[in-house]
Amino acid sequence: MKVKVYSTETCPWCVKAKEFLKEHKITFQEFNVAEDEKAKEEMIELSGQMGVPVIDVEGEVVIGFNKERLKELLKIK
Amino acid sequence: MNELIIIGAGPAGLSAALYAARKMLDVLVLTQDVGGQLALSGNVENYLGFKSIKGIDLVGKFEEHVKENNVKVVQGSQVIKLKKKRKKFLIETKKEKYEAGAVIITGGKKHRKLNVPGEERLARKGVVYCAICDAPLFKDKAVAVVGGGNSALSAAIDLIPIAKKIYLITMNKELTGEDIRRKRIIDSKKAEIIYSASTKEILGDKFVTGIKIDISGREKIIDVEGIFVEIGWETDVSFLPKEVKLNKSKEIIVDKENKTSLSGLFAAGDITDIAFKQDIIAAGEGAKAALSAYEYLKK
Repeated sequence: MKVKVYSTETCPWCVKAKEFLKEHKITFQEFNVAEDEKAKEEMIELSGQMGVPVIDVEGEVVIGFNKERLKELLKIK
Repeated sequence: MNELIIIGAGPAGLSAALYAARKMLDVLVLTQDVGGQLALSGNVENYLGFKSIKGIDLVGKFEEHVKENNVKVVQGSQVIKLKKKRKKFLIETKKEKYEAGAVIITGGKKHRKLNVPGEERLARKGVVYCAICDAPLFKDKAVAVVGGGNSALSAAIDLIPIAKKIYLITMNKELTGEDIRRKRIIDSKKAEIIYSASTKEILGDKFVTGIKIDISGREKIIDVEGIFVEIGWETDVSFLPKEVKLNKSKEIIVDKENKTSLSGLFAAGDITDIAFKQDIIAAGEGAKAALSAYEYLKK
């Protein structure tokens, strides 16, 4: 499954979200939107908002660290 | 039906869960997120046993400890209604209904909102409540920080190396908060402090484009792309029945055993009227509430 994580280094929920993905052995592409202007624009375009984290699971966009929604999309029990 | 339901999973809720589990109570935790305000704080340097630890890491340690005791935590559940029917508590979240013999409320506090037009519509679209999370997205932009206390000063200081210009908007005639932080802002060429100003409206179509303020009776619009709301914290007690007594700050009134005015309903931590809102105090209060709930259930 193609998973993208848009985050900043300072955001505690971003750290949590990434830990959660690693814990469930989900590989993901990471974008630091504080540094990467292009990724930031992409994140805003995708999610229609400016808060991090934003997680894109195969085109389904999850705003914030919504564990239940991620479990659903990633089929984690 | 559960013997005990705990609402909230910050230091108070998790500590209550641990104590309840060790008393072999059948306990369920309902919460929107784990960690509450502590998850969003930077370094914690006053929690006994930890010289310096990130808020989110301390939450991780609490969570791990609680999970070892087989406590079930349901995340993403926002309680919208709670009532007592005979000896049973009925709890409704946005998705489910639950029943319990006793309840401990540890909902903590959430960011106070400005309650002005445009705020809700533009939340996360330039209106920011988590400076530590989202400040880096405003590189080379003009931003406003609303508030004059320590959290507003911290947000403004975090923004100095990032933003192009920072307007610090306070209702007061001077900044409160620590001297060392005030000095850093006053010394920064990027920061402009606007005193005696109240926020009237947040402007923008899809995203924030400006803020309308009132400076001693004179209206002014400032062009900004980010507005950091840092005007303190408040409780959410909208789901509670009227029998539960609150103080003027909408905090739940508890006695020394964490009992509320409704029998079988307990509360702990920042959502209550206790003095000094601190992580270690909240954890202690959570433990107390669990022990009181245990005594109530075993009667």
